[in-house]
Amino acid sequence: MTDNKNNKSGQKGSMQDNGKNKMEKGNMDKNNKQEGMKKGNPGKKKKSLKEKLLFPAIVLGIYIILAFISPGNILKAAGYSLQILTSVLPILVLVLVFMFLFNLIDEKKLKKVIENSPRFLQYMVMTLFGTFSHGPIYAWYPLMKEFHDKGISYGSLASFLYARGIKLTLLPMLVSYFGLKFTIILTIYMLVFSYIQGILVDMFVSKKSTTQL
Amino acid sequence: MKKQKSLKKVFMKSLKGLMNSIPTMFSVIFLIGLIKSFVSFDTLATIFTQNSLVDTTMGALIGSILAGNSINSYIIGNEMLTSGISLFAVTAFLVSWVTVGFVQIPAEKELLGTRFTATRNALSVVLAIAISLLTVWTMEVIG
Repeated sequence: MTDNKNNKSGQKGSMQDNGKNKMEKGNMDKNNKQEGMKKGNPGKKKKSLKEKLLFPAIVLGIYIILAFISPGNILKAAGYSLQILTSVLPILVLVLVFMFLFNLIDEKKLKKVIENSPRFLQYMVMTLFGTFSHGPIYAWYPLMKEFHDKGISYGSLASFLYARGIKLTLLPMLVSYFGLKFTIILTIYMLVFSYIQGILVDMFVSKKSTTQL
Repeated sequence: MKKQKSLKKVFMKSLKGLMNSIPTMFSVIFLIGLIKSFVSFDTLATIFTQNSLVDTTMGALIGSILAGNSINSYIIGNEMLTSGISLFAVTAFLVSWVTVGFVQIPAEKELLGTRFTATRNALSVVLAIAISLLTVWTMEVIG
């Protein structure tokens, strides 16, 4: 009898434990969701290999089809592409260095600094950073993703990407083609609008962002 | 020893992050090559009218479609000016060339999300038009 009682109370206990476990699991899921939100990746799932290779497969398909229609142009296109590739590779090394350095930063400390720093400062720093960046825009996407995962707002990323339009190294060429006055006015407007772009993107995209304006 | 191990771990994490974006990035490059070899810049010049707002919008849209080194945009922009296309259109073309990337949308979308990509590119086209109008008007005011 006592054994039965013990068993019953044991069953009851295990049922209570199950209930408790379910509640804990629920809380953990909630916590994970909140953690994901904090990281800026609410409900983000990893892409499968099939999804990742869809776009390259489409481009390859276009090349194959056009190779039958216009083989000369396809050779020219491949030549152009290889030329771009060779110019992009050194920039990717630079991006890797930046990513490595950025990954060394303590995520918690950085998040705290970002949370405490005003948004306008983030836009300004990212605009400046973007002005000094080199190479094509797509080479910087992995670093931007890294930034966002560490809590930097979408608006700040947009400011960086917009400010990339200012090519400091090419300014003499821009002056020689379009004049000094045009270059100065355009550059100033580009800087101002990089900032505005950040504000606008945060207005439309990052409504649940962690930092305050 | 522990520090070295964690440095290696951080490096591998960074490398993995970069490698994940390589297939799409390289596909974008090959797509740019394709556009460059199939679309003639001379035929693009025939699209422009003499209406400054329409030309500015056209310039912004063409600059958004085309991509590549900024030097190319300066050369094409200069050619456009000499063939009589307005500075409004050329400025919008130059700005959108470097700030908008229709060709790069798949890569941007994959890494930074659809909403961000769509918003950023749409805003960049609008801002390219605004910058173009303001730049030319400022030049006219300054004299």
